[in-house]
Amino acid sequence: MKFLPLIVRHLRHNWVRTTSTVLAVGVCIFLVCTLQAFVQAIAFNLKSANDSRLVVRHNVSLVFRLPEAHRGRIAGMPGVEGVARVNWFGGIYMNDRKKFFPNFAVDMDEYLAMYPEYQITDAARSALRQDLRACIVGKETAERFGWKEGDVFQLESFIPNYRKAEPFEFVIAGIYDTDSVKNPGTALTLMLFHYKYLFEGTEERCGIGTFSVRIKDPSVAVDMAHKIDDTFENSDTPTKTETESAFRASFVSLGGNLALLLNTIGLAVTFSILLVTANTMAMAIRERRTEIGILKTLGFSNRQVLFIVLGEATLIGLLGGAVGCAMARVMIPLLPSLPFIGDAVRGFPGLGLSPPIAVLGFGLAVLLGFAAGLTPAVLSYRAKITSLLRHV
Amino acid sequence: MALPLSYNVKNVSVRWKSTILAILGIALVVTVFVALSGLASGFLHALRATGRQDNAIIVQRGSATELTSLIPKEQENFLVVDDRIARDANGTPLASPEMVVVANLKHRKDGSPTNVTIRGVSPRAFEVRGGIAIAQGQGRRFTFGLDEIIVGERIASRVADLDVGGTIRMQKRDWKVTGIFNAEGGGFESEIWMDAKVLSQAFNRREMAQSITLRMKDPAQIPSFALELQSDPKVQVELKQEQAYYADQAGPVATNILALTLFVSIVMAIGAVFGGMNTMYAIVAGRTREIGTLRALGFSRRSILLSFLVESLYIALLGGVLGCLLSLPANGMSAAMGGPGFSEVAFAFRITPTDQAYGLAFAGIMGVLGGLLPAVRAARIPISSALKEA
Repeated sequence: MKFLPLIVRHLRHNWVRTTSTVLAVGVCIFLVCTLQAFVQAIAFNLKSANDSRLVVRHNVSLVFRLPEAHRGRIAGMPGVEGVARVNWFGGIYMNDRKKFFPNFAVDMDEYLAMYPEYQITDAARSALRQDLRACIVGKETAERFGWKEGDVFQLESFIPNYRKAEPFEFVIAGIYDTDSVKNPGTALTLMLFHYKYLFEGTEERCGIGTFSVRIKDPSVAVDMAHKIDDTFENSDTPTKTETESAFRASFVSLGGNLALLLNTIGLAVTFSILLVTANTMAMAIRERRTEIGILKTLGFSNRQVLFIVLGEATLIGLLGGAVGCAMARVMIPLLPSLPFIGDAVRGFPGLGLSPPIAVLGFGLAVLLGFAAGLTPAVLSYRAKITSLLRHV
Repeated sequence: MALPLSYNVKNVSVRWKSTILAILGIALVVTVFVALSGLASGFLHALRATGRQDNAIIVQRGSATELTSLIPKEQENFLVVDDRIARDANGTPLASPEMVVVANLKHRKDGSPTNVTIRGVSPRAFEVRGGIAIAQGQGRRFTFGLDEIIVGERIASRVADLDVGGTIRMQKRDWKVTGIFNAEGGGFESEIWMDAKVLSQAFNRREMAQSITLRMKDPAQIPSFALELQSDPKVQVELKQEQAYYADQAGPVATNILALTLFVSIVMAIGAVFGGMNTMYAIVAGRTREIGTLRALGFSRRSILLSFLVESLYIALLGGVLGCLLSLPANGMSAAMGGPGFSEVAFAFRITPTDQAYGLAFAGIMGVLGGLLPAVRAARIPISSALKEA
């Protein structure tokens, strides 16, 4: 510790190099944190799915409709607490696919009972009951379009069965939010409206996409799923029932192996931090051969020299890590509002720098700094005074 | 007078120890950049290579994908007799009405669920689509009227039980795989094909086409034909050039990959530029005497500046070339992503010369940015003090 002033002096002496190295490390740590934040958002999205909820769909494909008769039979099964019809509406706002947000027609009361994490006010609840066109919108989507309660907007579906002469019109009854600590990863981008509105609007032709089923005992979720599928196995429309997390996982895997891709990039970035820092340390030591020779002549032990060099490298990592975490803290929440990139990242709910990721980024920076200092440190440890001072 | 290029080249090769790390740093950024754009190119290629130049496709107006489109029989009958559509020797129009469903199958590797597009085709489809061929020694086409399917090469290797002679179970029926086909690298290689009539019975679909693919007599007529159909109140359809239709479907996913590529590469590049700048500063500092000598010999400040910029550019380009080479193993690696209509599109990384050219240009930009400030410093060194230094 007593050599800290010496190390700081070194770093300040060549401040241009120190600054650019710290910035390089910082930028890379920021990237690592951002990539990890995405990986985490994907994992949270799966985790936010609840095993007390099952999703029933046609056993061949989501595009086939389920019959209304199934609803009553599922609701009557022992262990089932509630059934809601859920149809992916595929509505496009202002005829612009870039303005996409997920929207569903649902049996509102049953659905909200199943998803207590979507919090809405009592006023919103009663507004929902009063108007067939009423809908609720997630906080992030509401902020994106500057919507508030009472606003009216229109959506037109790209699914032919859901299209009619003029677009569907909706009134915002409420904006839902969630407790992001208790329910991380809850999507705040959805728009939910009355199934009945879709049913009547399409002259009762819309059919049923999926059922969301709430069960009493999550530990028997898989058995329940089998029981539902067995019931309909010999009907005209056999079903496929999965827990909500399994259902969502099948969509995430469609995003390709995104987590693997992001982690691979993260590895490459990590390696490039190592290169940059090792480069700087190698240069610093190369320039300072004479100085190290003098230190050793003055009686500094080889070990002390080793620690001074390692300390300098670690300090660079430390500073870089701090800069990187600070950047990540500020920038990650801003990403969705950036042009171009924003469109790509909007689908990830709850993006932000969580403490574990910050610790990971910071720790990585310190560790890499240390690793980058190893070779130069060992070289100076081994070097003989005579060879160090030869070039004076 | 400008300094000769060989001066920079020799400097870098003599003092390679001090530049090797900077070169590797830039190489790494270029590797990531080229590999990611290869991913985007591969995906785009898989969908863009789908279809033929002289084909057009008709879908319901406003439907985003074939999956959500429906064309009633009477409209189909009206459309296919148009005399802009090519006909075969017997005078039958070269038009292929097709149906599309998505089935939930399991991955070969871990049994995880995936969605696969199943296309029901008419006997004419092979003639109209062109380029669909059963892979060497991989069985035969399905027989129309039977519960038989053929499977695209790419999806066959990823999804369980899709081997010649294997069966999959859908709609309480067993479907026999009679062959594996390829489609010149196009998106059809991620699909399963069967008889449209069998499909419509098995899946309880009314016999209604979801898309009609047409061979045009003259592809130049596609725009005018499209315009005419758009405003025709008798039909609710739109017509597009086939390749353009499938390429459009790739649009949003490809844009997202591109956004990721740009974001990651630019942030990494900032890091690499700082690293390169360090190296260049060290190079300039180590060569102060040499610069003084050059100036004393009569080289102007400007030629010193230019020379160091060139050196930086050279280092970066070396890194760029290395990066392009390092990214090559990714070429041909298979990947899969969600395509149109929630179904899986399998494709291969495709590192094109264009991707590599962009990678090199990117390296060049990094070189110039990283070398600018150190080169300015080199140019500003006064002769007297430069020569005074030990």
